[in-house]
Formats: sequence, C-alpha cells, structure tokens
Amino acid sequence: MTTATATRPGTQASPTRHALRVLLRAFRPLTTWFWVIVVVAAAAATPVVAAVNGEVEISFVGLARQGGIWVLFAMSIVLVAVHLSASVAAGMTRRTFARASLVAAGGTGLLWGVLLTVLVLVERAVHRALGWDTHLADALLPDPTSSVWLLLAELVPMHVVGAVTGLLVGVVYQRVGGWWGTLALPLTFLPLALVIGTDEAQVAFVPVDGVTPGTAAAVHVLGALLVTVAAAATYTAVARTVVVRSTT
Amino acid sequence: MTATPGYGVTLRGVTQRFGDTVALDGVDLEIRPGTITGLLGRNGSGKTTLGSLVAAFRRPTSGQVLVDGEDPWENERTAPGVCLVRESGDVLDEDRLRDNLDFFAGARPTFDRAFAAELMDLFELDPKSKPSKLSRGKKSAFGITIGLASRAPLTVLDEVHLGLDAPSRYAFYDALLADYLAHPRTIVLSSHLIEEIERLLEDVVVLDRGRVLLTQDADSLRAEGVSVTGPQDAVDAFVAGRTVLGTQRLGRTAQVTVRGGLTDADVARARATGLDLGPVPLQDLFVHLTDPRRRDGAAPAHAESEVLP
Repeated sequence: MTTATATRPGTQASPTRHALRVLLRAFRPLTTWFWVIVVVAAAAATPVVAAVNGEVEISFVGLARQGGIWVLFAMSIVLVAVHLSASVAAGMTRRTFARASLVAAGGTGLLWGVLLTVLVLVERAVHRALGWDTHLADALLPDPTSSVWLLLAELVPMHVVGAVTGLLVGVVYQRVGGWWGTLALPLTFLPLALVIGTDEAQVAFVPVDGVTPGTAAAVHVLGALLVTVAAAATYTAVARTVVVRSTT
Repeated sequence: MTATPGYGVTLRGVTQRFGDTVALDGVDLEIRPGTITGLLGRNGSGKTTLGSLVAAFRRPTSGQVLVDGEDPWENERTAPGVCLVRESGDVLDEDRLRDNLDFFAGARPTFDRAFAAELMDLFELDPKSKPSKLSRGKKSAFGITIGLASRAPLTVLDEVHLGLDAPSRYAFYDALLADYLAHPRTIVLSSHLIEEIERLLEDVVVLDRGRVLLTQDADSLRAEGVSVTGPQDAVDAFVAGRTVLGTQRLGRTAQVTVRGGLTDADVARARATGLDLGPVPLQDLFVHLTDPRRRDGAAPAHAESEVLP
C-alpha cells in the first residue's frame, strides 16, 4: 500500500450525510406538490359537496392516504434507479447509498404520515365547527374520535413501509434486471402487502376481548417496525451487490 | 509505505465472463501510480470491463483486483479516490449541471470547484442545463469536466472524448496534461484515437480479446520500431525484408513504419540514401499487434494508405 501526497482524499463531511442531503432534495419537490394538491383538492371539494348534500360526512384528506403510500413507493423505486449508479460513480460505496436512502425514504415516510395526521385533525376540527360528522371513506383504522396517537400509529408505519418497500423493489430491479425483478415482485412487495393487508382487514384494531385500541395500535406499530427492519436489511444486502451497468 | 502521487492498480488472474462471453481472460496487469497510462484495444477487447472492475462498478468472476493495495469493492477508503468516467455518463440526468457538480464535489474530497468552472467555460457548458438535454459532445465534455476536476488519485477516462469535435478534443488533451503536471496522479486513458493521445502517454497497455497483449512504457515501445521517410524506391529498398507495420504514400514520397531496431550501419545507410528516420507511431504498432490475421497465424497485414497528389 502506498500513501500518495498530492491528490489523496482529505477529510470531508460524512459521505452518508452528503448522500442524505442529495436524496432528501430529490424528495422535496414531490413532497411539496403532493401536499399542496391534497390541501387544495380537499379545500375545493368540501364546499362543493356541502353545497350539493348540505353537509360533508367523509374525509377528503383521508383519501390521500392511498395516494401518499403509492406515490412514496414509486418515488423510492425511481430514487434507486437514478441515484444508485450515480452515487457509486461519484465515489460513494453502495453501503453509504443504502444507509442514506433508507434514512431519506424512511424520514420522508414519517413526515408524510405526520402531515396526513395533522391534516385529518384539522379537517375533523373544521367539520365539528360546522356541525358535520366525519368518517373516513378509506379503510382508515382509527374512528372519527380516535386520538392523535392512534392516527399516528396507523398512518406513519404505512407510509414508512411504503417508502422502504419501494427501495427494495427498485434495488432488486437494479440487481437482476426487468424480467427477474418483475418475477420477484411477490417477494419484494411483501412488506407493504403485509402491512396493507393487516391494515385493511382491520386485524390489529378489531376489538377483541381484553385488547384495548392502544394495545392493538402498539401491536400494529411493532409489526410494521419488524417488517420495516426486515425489508431494510434485505435492501441493504441486495444494494451492496448491485453492478453499475452502462446506460448506452 | 512509499509516497507516490496517485493509486496504483494490480490485477492478478482476473477473468470476467458475461454468460458465454469472456470479456477478460486471466489478466495480470500492473498500472504504475503517478503515470498516464494508455489503455488501447479494439472494440470488445475488454477496456471498459477493466475500467469497471477497477472502479468497483462490478466484481470479477475470478481473480483479484487491487487499487492502492486494497480490494476496491465497497472500500470506504479507496472509493472517493477512484473516478471512472464513461461515455455513458453516470450523472444525474435530470438535475442541472451545477447541481451535478455540487453532488460530485460533495462526494470527492479532492474535487476542485474552481477548476470545474474553468472547464465548464472551456467547453461552453451552461450550468443551468441538464445532462439529458445535452448533445453527445457536450455530455462528453461534462464527463471530462467531472473526471478532471475530481482530481482523483486514480482517474479512468473510458473513451470519454469520442463525442467531442476536434478543437474540443485538443482542448481536453491540453487541459489534461497541464492539470496532470500541476497535480500528478494516476490517469488511465482509454481511446481508439491513438495518434491524438500518444503524446500524453507514459505507459501503454494493449488489450486484445480480453488478454493483455502488451504492457510497456511508451518511450521504449516507440524505440522498438522506426519510421522511414523518403523517395519511394529508396524506402522500399531499405525496408525490404523487415516487418512493415504501416505505409503511407504521397506522390513519389513514402513513409513506412517497420518493427525492430536498426544497427548503426542501417542508420548510416539510410542517411546516405537520403532517408529520414523517426520514432514508430503507436497507432501503427497497435494495428500490427491487434491484426486478426497476425493473431490467427496468417500472413501479417500492414496498414497502407495512399494520398494522391
């Protein structure tokens, strides 16, 4: 081993932090556009429906739940497709990219879950002030009176798992190509399918003897957390073996 | 440990297969640190694959790749110091050029933003444009900008300048040489345009069908042959019986490249008959070495061109 003098890399900010900044910047425009559209659409639809029906009983904001999960899922796939090769070409390891992308996708999922919770609460407050009832047209687990913690327990894990599953799907496509990536979808999509499946079946929140909503929420969060950790570990392992192919 | 400007590269028995295709076949190779090495070879000879292995874009099927004495795969120490620029890009296509520069500058400790700005001006690149909107030539120029401004201890430029027009190519050669002299490092330059880059090269590696055909310093390689220029008849008489690598004719004047050294008597005879002797062009040697007929044991062919008066 030699020690070069003139051009050896010196000290610099952590590559993971640099990659994280770049990846968060990639999520930023989509985050802005998506939530502006949600707010504008809900604000426009509510008075229209109120004028027609005399009242509004559904949560328009709640409809963004499915959209948010799938947009994040797709964005994560694109993120891997665009940034993994460029990051390696820029002198980062795949491990660095995997760490940064997990934090970026997971953090964005967390943010979107919190944003949706806040908007649901705001919408609920508006409806109450106008004397309307609120129920969520989507299969949102907590009921109209559920606490902020129950809303967070349902919405945040869904978005985080959606984003991390997108990374896993994207990296497997990068690793094995289009045909095998598609054939592997039943496995790579499994984390999100598991959480959506249990969520929509309302398994975790169905009142059973001796189980409070709080306990059910905790089980739901813990289950989603385990699924996320397993998906993240698989993603990191696969990402570290990806070949950077020529694009021409 | 020794102090050297740049990373050295060692390949030991490296084989790379793609299905039934063998891109590299048991390659043993040393690239000296602190040199500009020309990586020459015909299409499909394995140049791009070799660059990809060195930059840890992929792992070899078998064998060992070492960069600065270590396996480069997922190596946190060597990764920021190895820069492979391919014609295909590997940039953020939908981000503006200035955002791309920020991206690469943040990832490479040796990146020089001021030099990058100079090169952007030199190649007339608009920082606000996006790589996806650039012409092939401008994309090549942007790749070169990143490759040179990164000042990585090991920079591999794989056919990056093929899309450039001639003035831009010569501007690139000048910029590369000037920056290399100011900031010595290891540069591997892969190209088909051997005549244009040979003045830059200190070492030469010739690949052919995935094998190393030749690895040598450029000066000693040039000394292995000679170009003979003069009246056609005198040249033909002088080179009779020698291995001819290439021939050019202009009217009654001929320039013939032959392989092998000359004795003092040969030199005296050439001068007595009015012939000029010069170094062997690497291009002629390359064509000769990689001629499929020579490789397959048939009669060696040599390049011949005729320029009509």
